[in-house]
Amino acid sequence: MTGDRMRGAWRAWADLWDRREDAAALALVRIFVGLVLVVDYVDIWRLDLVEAIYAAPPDGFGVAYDGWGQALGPHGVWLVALVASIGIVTGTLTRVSCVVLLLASAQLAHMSPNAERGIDTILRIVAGVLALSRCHARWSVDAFVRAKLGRPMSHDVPAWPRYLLLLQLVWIYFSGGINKGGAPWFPHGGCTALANIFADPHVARFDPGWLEVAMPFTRIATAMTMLFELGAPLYLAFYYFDATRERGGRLRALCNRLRLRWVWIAVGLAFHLGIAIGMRLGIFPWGMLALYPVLLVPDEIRRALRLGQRRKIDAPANRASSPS
Amino acid sequence: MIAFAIVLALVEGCPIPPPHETLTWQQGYVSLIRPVQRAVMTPFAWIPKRLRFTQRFALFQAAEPDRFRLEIRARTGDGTERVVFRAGDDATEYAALVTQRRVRGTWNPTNKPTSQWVSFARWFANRVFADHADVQTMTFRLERIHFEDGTLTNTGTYAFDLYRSRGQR
Repeated sequence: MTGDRMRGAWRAWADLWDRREDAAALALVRIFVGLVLVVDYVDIWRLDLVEAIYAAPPDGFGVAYDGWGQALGPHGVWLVALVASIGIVTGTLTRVSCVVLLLASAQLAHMSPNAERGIDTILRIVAGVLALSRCHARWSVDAFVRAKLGRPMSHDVPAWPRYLLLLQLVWIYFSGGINKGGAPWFPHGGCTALANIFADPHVARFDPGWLEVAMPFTRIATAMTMLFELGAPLYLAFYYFDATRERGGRLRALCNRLRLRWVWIAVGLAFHLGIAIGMRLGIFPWGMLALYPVLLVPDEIRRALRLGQRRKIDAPANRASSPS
Repeated sequence: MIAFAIVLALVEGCPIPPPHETLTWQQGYVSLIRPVQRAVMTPFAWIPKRLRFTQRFALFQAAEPDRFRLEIRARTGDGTERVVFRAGDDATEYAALVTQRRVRGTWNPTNKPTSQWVSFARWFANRVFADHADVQTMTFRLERIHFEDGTLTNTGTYAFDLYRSRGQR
């Protein structure tokens, strides 16, 4: 009996990771992540900071690092990372671009460790997973070239990289929640953490004067943040309930009726948009939101795509205006 | 293979506090988990090290009410002093440069200065010396500030002061 159960569980596990689905979600992640990376690397160049951040003193404030980047120099490694990011957005030699981005970004992190934030680590991990996926099966130069060569790529791709990214996203929030240690994050510290951050001149976008009025709201937002982060693993249950809504069960029906999956996504969106508006954390909120397409059930993306196509067909054709 | 990768990531990302931050009540379970974590990760430790991966994420881990505010001052040959950069004041000449997220990471302290704090000060001072021929010395310091009940208080005390003079190596 136990053996049968074990075999059944193993089969279910293998079936789960063997599923296939439309490439749209992974392609969207690829495009959004690539865009965020391009903007980030261009920003460094725009401010003429490539040498400053990555070169060792006296030319910059990086650290001496004996890696392959040494031969290329700060500008060389930065350029490699930028070109790879463009390759990711456009889906050009996608797998190679993802691997190159991963290596170049890691090299830059070695060259200036404090210039590296959590979001850089996250995007490197995502690039690694995308390299193993078929995220280039849609909306990519690779797919276009393959179609021209008469060997079009199938839109039906392995789903496991999306599952892995979904797990990663949930883990990032959960890990962020359990690694928070300061009293201001908790009721016994008054839930003042967000107010403290919004008042921090190093990251705050606005003068902290508004906090005098908004303190109660920031306390609620702090509690919501902790609930959202620590409750992140629940999203997996909400997702499962939504994806298997034809099965019975009171809990499943209740979660689906209350649309808890969408509530969680909405809180996440509000969380990151709040950060983007109130704080200057660079690409962090956008890099995280770039991963949100993995939260959708494949059917939802398919329906959205179909809706888009129908609108295109229904729309009246543009006609040149008559000269008369 | 996927299951193995997930397990490895969970082991690496297991949220146990570093040895110097372990509280008394945590010592029991931490002393059990840490050796297992080390043993499991030993053959694979090169991967996160080389590729700069980790599965331990922390955004605003502490968010304490006591913070710092970076202030950079320049002094000219005739003794006149002016603020070159002050965190929170976007009107200063170098605000865009100093607050760029990667640059901020190199100077923004926790309860101690970053490992690149001195290098940053040296580079920035040289940049200001090059831009302004009249500037002779630069002061880098972090003012201690306190935030309580919606009010920010500048304490007037400073930490991690650094001084750079023109021509200094």
